Amino acid sequence: MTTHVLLIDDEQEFVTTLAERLDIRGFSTATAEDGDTGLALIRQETFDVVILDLLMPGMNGLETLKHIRHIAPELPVILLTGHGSTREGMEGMRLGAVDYLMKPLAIEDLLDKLKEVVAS
Amino acid sequence: MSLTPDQETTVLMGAVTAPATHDLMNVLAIINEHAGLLSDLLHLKGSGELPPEQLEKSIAAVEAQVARGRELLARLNSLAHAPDPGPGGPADAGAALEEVVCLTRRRFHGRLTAPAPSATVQADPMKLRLLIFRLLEAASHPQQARETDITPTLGESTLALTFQGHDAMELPGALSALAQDLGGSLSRTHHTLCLTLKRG
Repeated sequence: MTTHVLLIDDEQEFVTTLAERLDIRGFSTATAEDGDTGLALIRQETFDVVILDLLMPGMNGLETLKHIRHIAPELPVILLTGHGSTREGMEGMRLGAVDYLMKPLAIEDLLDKLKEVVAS
Repeated sequence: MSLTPDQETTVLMGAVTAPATHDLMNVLAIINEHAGLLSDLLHLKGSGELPPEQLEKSIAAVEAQVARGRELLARLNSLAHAPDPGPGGPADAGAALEEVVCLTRRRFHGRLTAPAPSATVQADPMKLRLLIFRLLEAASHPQQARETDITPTLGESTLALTFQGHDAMELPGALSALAQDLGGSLSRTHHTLCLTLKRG
């Protein structure tokens, strides 16, 4: 079965290119450039996993994560952060994210994490 | 406990460099994804040839990100050298405005309505940046991700910087004192804050 992934990141060029790379690997993807749009998609569709950027304008990643926990408590969320610090990533895990990855992303790390999430 | 202006300028360095370095990470992340996509198309798609339109798209994206990264690094370098003249100045207020707006764009969504003209003021370059940062913070609405317009106006002996807010704003007393300390003045209308600096 195809894994359906939602990517939420305000960097449009980043999110569409990463989505294309996941599509090549057999995933099906949807993208959103802000938390509100991402939450609307989660209400409309069923996703297997969400990849969520932490620092976004408007509703930031941690706030978006809290809403996701409310709408879809079981939906796994992997966080992305561009910070040198891991503080926000740890805070996200405390709020229920399964893990966090640092930008720039090593695609193998993301694929490993996605496999892990889908297997569990 | 309130911070002294000297302590605040130290806080400013972190507050300005944090969003800028996040943006630089995004610059690298986009270049990384485009390089990865081209590699995927070569090796995973199996054709052994890159589609010209994808190649052109990736080249354009990388060029755009290099330009974005170059601007961010130039502004960070300018910030790092800002204290060089010492607390008596001089400082280029136009350059300081462009620098703070660029480095905090991710946080405050500041937008200059016109290029900031070069205008020398005899003031502490770091306190000047601190005041610009605080005015941008007061005028912006980060939760709504709405742009905050800043209009620089060059007069015969002054440079006025007008920050257009989204809601009715208060004029914090500490900022007025800081403006006076820089030889300038601060005024407020319902939705704008205006800093007027003496040139020279």
